[in-house]
Amino acid sequence: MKKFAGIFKFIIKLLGVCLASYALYTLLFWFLWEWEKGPDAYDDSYDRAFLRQIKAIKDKERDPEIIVFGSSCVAFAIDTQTLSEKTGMNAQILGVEASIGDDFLAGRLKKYAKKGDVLVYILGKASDRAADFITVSVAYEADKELLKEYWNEEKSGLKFYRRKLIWRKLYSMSVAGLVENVRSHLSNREQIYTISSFDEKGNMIAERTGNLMGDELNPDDTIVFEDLDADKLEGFNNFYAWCKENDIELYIAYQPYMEGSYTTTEEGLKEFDEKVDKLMDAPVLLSQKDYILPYGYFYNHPYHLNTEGAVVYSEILGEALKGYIKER
Amino acid sequence: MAGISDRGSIPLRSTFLLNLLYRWLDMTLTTKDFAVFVAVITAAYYIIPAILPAKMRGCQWWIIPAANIYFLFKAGLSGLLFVLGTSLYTYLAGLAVKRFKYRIVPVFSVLFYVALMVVMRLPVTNAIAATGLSFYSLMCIGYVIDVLRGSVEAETNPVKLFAFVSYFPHIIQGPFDDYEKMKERMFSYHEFDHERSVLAMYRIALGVMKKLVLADRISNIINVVYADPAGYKGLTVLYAAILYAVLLYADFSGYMDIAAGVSKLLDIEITENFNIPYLSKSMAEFWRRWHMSLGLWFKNYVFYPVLRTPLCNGLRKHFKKKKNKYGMNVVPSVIGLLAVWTLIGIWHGFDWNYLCYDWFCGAVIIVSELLGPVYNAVNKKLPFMQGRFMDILRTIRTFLLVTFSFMIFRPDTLGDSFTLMRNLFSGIGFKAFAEFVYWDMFDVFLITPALIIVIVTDVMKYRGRDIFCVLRRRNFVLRYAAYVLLLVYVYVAGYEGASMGFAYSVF
Repeated sequence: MKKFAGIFKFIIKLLGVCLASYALYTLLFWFLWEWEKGPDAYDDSYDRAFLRQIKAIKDKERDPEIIVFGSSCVAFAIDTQTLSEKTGMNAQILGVEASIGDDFLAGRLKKYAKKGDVLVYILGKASDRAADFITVSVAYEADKELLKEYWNEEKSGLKFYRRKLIWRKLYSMSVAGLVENVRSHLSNREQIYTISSFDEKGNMIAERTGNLMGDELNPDDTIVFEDLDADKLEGFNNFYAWCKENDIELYIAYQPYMEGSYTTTEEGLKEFDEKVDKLMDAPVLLSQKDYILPYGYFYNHPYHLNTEGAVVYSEILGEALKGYIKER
Repeated sequence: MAGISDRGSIPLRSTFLLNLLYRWLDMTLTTKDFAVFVAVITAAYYIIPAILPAKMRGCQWWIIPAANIYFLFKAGLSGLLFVLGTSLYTYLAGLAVKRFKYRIVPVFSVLFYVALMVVMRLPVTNAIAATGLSFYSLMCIGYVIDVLRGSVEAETNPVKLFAFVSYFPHIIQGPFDDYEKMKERMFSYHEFDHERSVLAMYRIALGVMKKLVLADRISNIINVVYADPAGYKGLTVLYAAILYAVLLYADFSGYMDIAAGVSKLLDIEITENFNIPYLSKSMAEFWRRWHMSLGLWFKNYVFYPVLRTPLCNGLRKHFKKKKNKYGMNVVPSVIGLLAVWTLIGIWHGFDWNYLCYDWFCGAVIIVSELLGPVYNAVNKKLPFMQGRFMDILRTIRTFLLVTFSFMIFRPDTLGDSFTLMRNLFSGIGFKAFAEFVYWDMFDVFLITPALIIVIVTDVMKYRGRDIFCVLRRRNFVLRYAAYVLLLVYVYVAGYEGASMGFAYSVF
């Protein structure tokens, strides 16, 4: 055995280093993400607004209300006060960005929506179907119970993204602030992507005035029927069936479109509406052309409205919804 | 019960063996499969001979061809058969060169390999050949020429020659090893050495970091620029070009670190391919420090033979008659350099980008050679030209020149190269550059520590100090903390997308 002493010593040292590395890695992850008293690097983040929205919907004491959900176009296009005034019901926004994923939003509503709620899904081009693991983890980071519940649902996601979660948080804790400061100095765009830009209802309260986009309109920013994910729409039909079973109403509306950016003809718009109507079981509020708004109502993206535009869009939506709510 | 247990164990064992044989393994040098392969080979290499009687220990080297066969088999059966065939051919060619003194034999052998490299690069045949054909073909050519020159004895054992040609650490991307030097190390008995193995592991860890953290992440940042060269200008193009220079070094030297480390584990030193190339003060020096074994190969087997051709001899005589010492030395060298750089360009692939890149490098070196006397005169007359500050400026100049040359090498077409070069000088584009950097800040954040480690390692090497040896002298806690931190860093910061593959494995 003496002749193998060298190789055994080497193997033991190597294994020792590997084990110590694994232990440090596990400890680091636990400290950064799992420990209740661990650092919260995202307390000012845009995604954190989503956690507040979830908590508002999860509240068992709340009255039935209108819940408008979808991608970032919802956060930028809805003014809950206008919607409430039009419909006579409380309104709540669910959604801060596309990467939260429509299926994920529908899944949360299945958990937390209550009898009598009126759900409005804003159908748009930007909506992703699946949730981005990191975005949801960042949003839930301050609520370990919700975070672990989500990770239990997405075990393979956690396995795949564990390393990324570590470095993303280390980045946020170290250089993110400096980078964002430098960026805001260099950029002439208003830095509205923080939690303080949202209120409890999910409204974007940061003052958005004027249009920060260039004059160029890109036809790619407008939606054509082929852009819609047929599987996602099918999934929404299942969700609609679930809503009906649970005395919850579900409607579909279109995201705002910039005037002049739509390249299809009047017939094209009509055909689009007909196809959506045919495919979707849930009622569709108005037609796509009713949501076309002038350039002056848009803010920093072809799907993002400024404060004034959000009021106008919410009036259109509220007016359409009012008819249905009165009917019931 | 015994019966059930017995019946159950047969398929289990056979499944394991079948998996071992047929399961697809990713033998890229940064994968877990390769790590397991190296661990098994290293253990077998030291443990099997140690349990054998002393007189049989000389058989240790048989593990190498066995490992090579498994490695090549996992890369593809056709590749294995191809290497076996070419090794046998090289073995026979060596014997023929030794036996028959006619010049036609080595000439035919060399032409055969050249034809092989040409044919196997055609799209139809590309899948048949083993990866690294361009690398091991040159090693085979070198071996045959060395036998002809008498600098190496023709090998009489075909398995030994196969072990050398197909040696798994160098077959895919080199380095170009010399059989005479290698055979002594490869076919002698080696005992396990703890110190050597620890140093080998350092080297492997450094190589993995260079590849997974630096090269793959940088690739993720800059690929968009090379995919759409018309869409970027000024500082963004410069940034992408500099990052590409870092990427290529990290990728290629990272591979070399892993290959050299693995080989060091087996106590077989392979030729070094890099010697801090970005601290070179001229293009010629850069090429003496970058892909050194390729430069050495072309120097030995192309440059010197060209200098001995009737044309060069005639020119030398001509200038001698005219008492033109400058012409006598420089003109044949220029012809030799032209031949070398054209052949390196063709070796890189049938692609105008590669050819133009190598011509560009050759042209810079030739112009420097031609202007050598002028530089020397200026340097003598102006004392400040010899100071340290000027050396730093020369290093920066050479790095920028190399970076610029990679703008010919990397883009998909020559048109794209010209577009990039034009856009580089078509404005500053500071805002677009700031946004470009911003969108990849995560990657920049992750590569920064790796970049610092590589720079510190290289600067220490330049000053004659080995970072691994320095680390070895530190106390136990500090040393092991460094190992653990490095491993965790590489694991956390390593690119999580699909492996990009090594840049030079396409040649």
